[in-house]
Amino acid sequence: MANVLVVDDSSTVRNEVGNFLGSNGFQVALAVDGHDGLAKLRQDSGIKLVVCDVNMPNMDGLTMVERVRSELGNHKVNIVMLTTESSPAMKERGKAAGVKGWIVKPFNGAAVLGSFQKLAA
Amino acid sequence: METALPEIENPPADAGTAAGAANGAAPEPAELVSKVLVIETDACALAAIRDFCDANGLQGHKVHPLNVPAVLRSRIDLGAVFVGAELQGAVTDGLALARDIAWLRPELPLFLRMDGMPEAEAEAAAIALQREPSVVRYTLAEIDALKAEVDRKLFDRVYPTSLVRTLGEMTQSALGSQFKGMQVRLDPPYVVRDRLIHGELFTLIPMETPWCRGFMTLQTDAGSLRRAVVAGRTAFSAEESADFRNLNAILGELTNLVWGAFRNRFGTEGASGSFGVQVPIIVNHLHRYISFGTESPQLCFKCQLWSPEDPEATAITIYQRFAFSLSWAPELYRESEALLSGFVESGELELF
Repeated sequence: MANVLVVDDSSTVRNEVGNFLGSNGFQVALAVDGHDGLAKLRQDSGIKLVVCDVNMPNMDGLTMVERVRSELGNHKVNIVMLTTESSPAMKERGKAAGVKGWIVKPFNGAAVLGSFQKLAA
Repeated sequence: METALPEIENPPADAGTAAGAANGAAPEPAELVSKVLVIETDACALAAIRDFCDANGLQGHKVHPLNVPAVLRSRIDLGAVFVGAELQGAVTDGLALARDIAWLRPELPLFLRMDGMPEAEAEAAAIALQREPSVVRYTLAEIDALKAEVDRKLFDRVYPTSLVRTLGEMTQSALGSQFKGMQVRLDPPYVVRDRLIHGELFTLIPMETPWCRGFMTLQTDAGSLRRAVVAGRTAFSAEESADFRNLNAILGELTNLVWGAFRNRFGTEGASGSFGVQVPIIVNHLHRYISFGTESPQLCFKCQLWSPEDPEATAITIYQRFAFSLSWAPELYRESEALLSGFVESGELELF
């Protein structure tokens, strides 16, 4: 059972974030796009934190967040976007969908570890 | 033969770039340069061409006529070629060489020096070369008149200094985040007319703002990237270096980071989007050639990375090109006001 789900179409980011979190005591699951992320969340109710990209093929990250809240009815899982996007409009859409936080890439594990630990508790 | 032009005897292992820094205030056009090949055997001509290059933002590289095919095969980024029609003591005829170059690399402007040719031969050559639009004939007495041709063919596009500097900074930052513990250096930016593809790995992504539409490419060789993975400098383990998809992913994420930084910095509001004009992008794998459908020179950065412990064995060269082929309006260029007003630093968590 995982407590963190990393959703990114880039295997570089999945490796980087997944390895960092794994080496810091998190149980990590990985997904390659929004569809996959939705499926993983459906399968694993233990996931407390989702770290999710925005621009992904098949299903983008914000659509995934909206469907997590509406389709799965999961309003408890904390979702943080990890993306190159930083436009206010995009962030507003995320906030409205129930995103908890926003990180502009590149990923800096040391800067977010404490917050991730709280969000995954 | 005495000349200050650096000579290319054999194809270099690594295609160098030109000098020229991009400093200054935002509205200033960037000081870009371009590398040109000089195929001459006459000392006076070499000296005059050297002076012309120095005065006009060109970095001249002398090449022996016999080495021209090998140099062209070596995929050096070029802006133009200077060739003398009469090559003293050379086995190769200058005119024939010019025709070969024009056929092999029609995208390169070719400046053909006609001094010393008998009138009849010169006239015959002029007729033969009429079909080669890239060829511009000149004599040393009128070399200064070439400036207009150089400006028109190489420096006709204004790149604002602050844009060029910002592109370099965001690229350097992205490289630093993807290659841990490696030194990163960007050579000074330059422009090319070439359409060459370097290495085996290539990414392509649209770059669109209200003032530009085009593409960015990153190009590198798989071997050096694999060595960086083996050395533990990337997000992948040494064991994962054997999978070419992981190498693809590294260059892909690097492309994504630069693209994202570009969007955040310059904004996309008002961009014409995917429903705007498009032209086919043509790739010829046999010739490692790509055309964006425009004759405009491309803005290039040559990025070099290495590990301090073993610089030679870990060296990576990444070629970055910007081809704003679909639209270019530098007079509308501006940085995003969102950035100027300040927002969250990359890597930091902004909690809602």
